[in-house]
Amino acid sequence: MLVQLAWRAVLQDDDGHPGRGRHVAWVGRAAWPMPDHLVRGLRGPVTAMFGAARVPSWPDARLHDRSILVDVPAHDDGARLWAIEQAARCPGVCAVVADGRGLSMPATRRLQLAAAGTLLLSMRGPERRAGERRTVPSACATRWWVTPAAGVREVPWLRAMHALAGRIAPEPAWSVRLERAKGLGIDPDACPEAVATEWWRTEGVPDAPARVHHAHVRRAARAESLRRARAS
Amino acid sequence: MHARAEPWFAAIVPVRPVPGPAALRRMAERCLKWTPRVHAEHGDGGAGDWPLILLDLRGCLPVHGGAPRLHERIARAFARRGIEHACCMDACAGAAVARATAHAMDMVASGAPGAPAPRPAPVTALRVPLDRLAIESLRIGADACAALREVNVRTVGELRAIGRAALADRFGPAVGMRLDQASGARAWDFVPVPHPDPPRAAFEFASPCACPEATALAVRRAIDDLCAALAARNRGVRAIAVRMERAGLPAVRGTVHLGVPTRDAAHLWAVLRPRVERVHLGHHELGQGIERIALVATRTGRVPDGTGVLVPGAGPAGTGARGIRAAPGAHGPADGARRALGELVDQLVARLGDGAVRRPAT
Repeated sequence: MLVQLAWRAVLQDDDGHPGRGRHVAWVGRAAWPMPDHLVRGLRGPVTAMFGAARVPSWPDARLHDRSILVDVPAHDDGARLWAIEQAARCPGVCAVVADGRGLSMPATRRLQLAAAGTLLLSMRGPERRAGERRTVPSACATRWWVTPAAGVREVPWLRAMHALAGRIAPEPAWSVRLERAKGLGIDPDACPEAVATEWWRTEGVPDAPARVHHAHVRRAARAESLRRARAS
Repeated sequence: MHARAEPWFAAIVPVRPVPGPAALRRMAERCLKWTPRVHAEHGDGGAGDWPLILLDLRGCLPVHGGAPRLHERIARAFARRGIEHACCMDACAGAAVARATAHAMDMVASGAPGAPAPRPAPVTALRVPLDRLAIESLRIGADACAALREVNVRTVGELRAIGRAALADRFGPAVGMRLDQASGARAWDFVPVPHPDPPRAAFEFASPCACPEATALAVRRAIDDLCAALAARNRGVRAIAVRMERAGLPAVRGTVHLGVPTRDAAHLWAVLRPRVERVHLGHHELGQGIERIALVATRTGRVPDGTGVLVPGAGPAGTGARGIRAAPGAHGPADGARRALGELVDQLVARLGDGAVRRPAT
């Protein structure tokens, strides 16, 4: 999800400011992505064999080439906050993906002020969910709850196909739900839960294509029926 | 004729593009990393008048792992900058120059302009007898070459067969001198390229000072002087060597590497400040303290020059500069973004330590 959003930031930056080449900063080891996830279209040749459209410019390594990884001491929240703030203030950075675990309300407020004009994505972590998510305030504009969704791992024959494919990783999928939108005029309760697949990252689009979405629905239904069959 | 087969000299003749005097001087200064004695001669690339860089390698070969390895390094360094060149190593400077010049002439005769650079010749190549080289390889001038070819003198061997007195009467002492230099009977007129004097600045205290505020002020003043020296040369610093001499204590020294060439005093201070604050200044009661602070720009780089352009938020990273303002030394938005990113990396490294900022693995 974070890689997909970083891709969106890079593409929007290229559209809005051609040739500027602003970077994406990943602050904190917990926020570091896998290097091959930063290249889109790596699966292009394989998906093209199954009828997917092939983009001549892929593989596209723009995000890989324009990413810097910042390592901060795990126990030093002050240094992490400082690094996130410096990256958010830097005019040469278009997006900051940060490990935001353990940041207090004043800290997030400070980051929100620093991130004017820069996309700042802060990971809260699952430990913040254990019964205290309502009690840990945050100044972030939006808060999203991302959980793993039923994917190909649940479907035996798809899992076998991916195993046969060797190095090609299975497509992960996430369930995304908007929890809070401050000052945006959006009612979180009115927003349905969306499903994001790996395809998003591959395509670099904000929404999953309809056929991909339908395929995912079918996979999820099949996985659910398998679970029921096992349970019975 | 030559007492030893150890190659003591390396002659480099840039073929394409033919460098001007300034470019040749820069090339020669870059060659100072291989040997402290480098000689450069400018030429227009015509017959017998090629630009030349001559390296005196005596005593330097063991450092570089031998002549073949050094030859490879030279070839790589020139090829990386897109310079086609001929290089030859020999025990005699004149012979090395003659062979390299002959090789350059062969490259021009055989290769079309714009063709990919040929593979570097091994050290043992160009070992043809000196007498079989063309007379142009002796660098005796186009007029003398034309006159000699009129009388059917085409090779060095044929030229050597002519009496020295006759050559001196017809062409002056230059042709005989080149022949002697090629055979090793006479040394090459070696004029060493002076070592570049790096921009530097220093601040000296009247007495040992252990006050942190005064030390910080002194460092800032030294940074200002260093930036002024860099501005005079239109360069930016890539690496600063800092030396703090302390009374009664050993000197503190270190080198700070920067992400992008810069001469922004505020940014340099932001980078140096955490390091300076960590230095133990000593105890004033014991007569200890800082005596001298010296900054040397050991590596410099090009800084885009010209009229500043309006760049949104092009101020130093971390200063919170927003809005529209003139970005000194920035040519365009890409330069401003690159400069800001370099300053961000410098600041992160200054506080979090070396290796805190990385690129994704390939």
